[in-house]
Amino acid sequence: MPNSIGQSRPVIEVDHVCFTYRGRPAPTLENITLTVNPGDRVGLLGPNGSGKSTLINCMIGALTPSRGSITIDGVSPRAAARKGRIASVTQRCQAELSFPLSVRQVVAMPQNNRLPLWKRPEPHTRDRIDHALTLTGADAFADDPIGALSGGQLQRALIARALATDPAVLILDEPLVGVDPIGQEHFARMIDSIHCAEAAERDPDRALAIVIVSHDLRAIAATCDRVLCLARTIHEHASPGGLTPEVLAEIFTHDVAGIAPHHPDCGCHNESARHERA
Amino acid sequence: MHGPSETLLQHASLTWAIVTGVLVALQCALLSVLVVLKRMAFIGQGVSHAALGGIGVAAILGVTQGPLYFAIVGAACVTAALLVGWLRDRRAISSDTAIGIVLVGSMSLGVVLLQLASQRSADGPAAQAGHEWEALLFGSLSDVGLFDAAIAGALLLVTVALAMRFGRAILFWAFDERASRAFGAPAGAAQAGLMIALAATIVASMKLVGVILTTALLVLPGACALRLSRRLPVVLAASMITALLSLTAGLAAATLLLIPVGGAVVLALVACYALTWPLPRLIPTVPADPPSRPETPTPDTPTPERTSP
Repeated sequence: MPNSIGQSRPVIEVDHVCFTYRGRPAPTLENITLTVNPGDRVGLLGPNGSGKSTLINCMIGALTPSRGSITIDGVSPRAAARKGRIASVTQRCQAELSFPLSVRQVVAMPQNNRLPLWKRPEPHTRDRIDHALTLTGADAFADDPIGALSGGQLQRALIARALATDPAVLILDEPLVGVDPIGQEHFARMIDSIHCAEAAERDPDRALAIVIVSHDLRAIAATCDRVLCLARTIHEHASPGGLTPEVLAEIFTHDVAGIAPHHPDCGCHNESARHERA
Repeated sequence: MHGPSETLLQHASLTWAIVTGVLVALQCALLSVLVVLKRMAFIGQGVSHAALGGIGVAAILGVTQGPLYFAIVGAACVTAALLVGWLRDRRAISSDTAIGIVLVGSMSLGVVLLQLASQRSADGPAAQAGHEWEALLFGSLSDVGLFDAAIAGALLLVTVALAMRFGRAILFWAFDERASRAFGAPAGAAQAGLMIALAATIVASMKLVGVILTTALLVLPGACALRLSRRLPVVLAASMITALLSLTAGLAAATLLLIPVGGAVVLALVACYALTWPLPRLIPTVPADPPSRPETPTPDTPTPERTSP
C-alpha cells in the first residue's frame, strides 16, 4: 500500500540480520541490511559459502535470523509464505518426478493445497495458473507428465508454479548452473518478458520484484539492473557494470576468509577462503 | 466331520474375514499409491513391526483383545510412525536409519514382553505362543470377528476423511516436501496426517493379514496401479481394484487349501504385478536420484517474443 507521500512499501526489508549455524564459531551472515522495492530486478551475487542460500532461507521463513529482522511485503517471512507473497525456485529440484501428475497440476499445487478435495478451485485461480504457464512458455507442454520434461522445461514449469501464486517477489536461486549460452539467452528473455508483462498488469506499487541469486555475474548482468554482493556482509553496487574484476576480487577474497569484518576499503589481504555452508 | 455349530462358526468367521478384508484392502490400496511414490515401503515395514511392540505391551498388561488391545497396538504404531518422523527432522538421521532403529527396537520389545507374558500365563505358554506367533506374523481367518470389522470400517472412514480434507496438502508434501514448506503449505500436519493414516491402516490389517505381510498390501497394489495409468484418480481406482481382486483370490485359496491367508493374498498380489509387467512403461523412467541440475536445456520451445504494451 502506498504511504501518504505516494512511495510504495518495500517488498523485502532486511534489517541488520545476522545468522550463525549452531556449532559454528563464525556467523554465516553478518549485519545484512538490504531493501528490495516493487518492480526491482536485483541480483544477489556471491561465491560459494558466502551465505546466499542462508539469506534466501531466512527470507522464505525456513530459517530464523539470530539477530535482526526480515519483513516481506509488510509481514513476517512465514506469514508471507503462507499468503503467497514470496515465491522461490531452488537450484535443485527435489520433487519426486515419478508422480503421475501433469505440469498443470504441479503448477496449481501451491494455490490449491489448502482446499478440501470436494471444493473446485475458483476461476480466478485457474486464470492465474494459465497466465503463469503462458508467461513462462510452459503452456506448450502443460498437459505432459512432470517427469517427461527436459531440464529447461522443468525450470520453466517451476517458475510458472512460483508465478501462479501471484507473489510480490520471485526468488530464483542459481538458475543458470549447467546451462549453455543459448539457454542463458533464453532464460534472460523469459525473465525480461515476465517482468514486462507483470509490470504492465499490476499497479506500480505492486509490481513484481525479481531476485536472482548466483555466483555467476553473467547470469545477473543479463537480467538485473541492481546488484548486491554478498560475502557474509552486503556491498551494494548500482549496476552490474560497476563490478570490475578488481572490485570483485577484493569483495570475494576479503570477507569469505572469515576474519573479523573490516571496512571493504581497508586493503587487507587474506589467506585462502574458508568454506562455510551457505 | 464338523458339527452344525462348528460349520456355522466357520461360516460366520469367514463372513467377517471377508468384510474385514474388503475394508482393509481398500484402505491399504489408497495409501499404497503414496507409499510407493514416496518410497515409504520401509516405513510401512517399520511401523508394522512396531505393532508387535504394542502387542507385547498389551500382553504384559493382560490385554489380548477388545478395544483396549487395539488402542494399545494403535498407540504403539502411531508412536513409531511419529518417532521416525521426529528422528528424521530433528536429529537429521536418514529415514533408513531411523526406521531401522525403530523397527528392531519395537520388534525386540514385543518379542521379549510376549515371552515374559506367556511365562506368567497359566495355560501352556509354549504351544499357545506358537499359534500366536503364526497368527501375529501371517494373519488368521479364524480370529477375525465383528469387532475387527468394525475397527477396520471406522479406520477406513478416518482415512477417507483425512484424504478428503487434506488430500491436496498431503499430495503437495509428498510430491515436493521442500517446496511445500517454502510455499507455506501445512507440511508438518500433512506428514503427521499421513503417518497416522499409515499406522491406522496397519492396525486394521494386522489381525487378518499379519504384521509381516501388511507391508506387501501397502506396496503391491500401488506398484501395479502405477504401471497401468499416468492419471492419479485412475491409479487410485486401479490400486483398489487390484487389492480387492487379490484379496478375493487369497481368501478363496486360504479357505480351500488351508494355507495362511496373509501368504495367499500376497502371492495373489505378486501375480497381479507380474501380469502388468509386459505392459509398456506408461510413466517415463526417472532416475532414482533426481538430477542435481538439468544439463544443457535444449531450446526446444523458444520463449515467445513479447512486446511491452
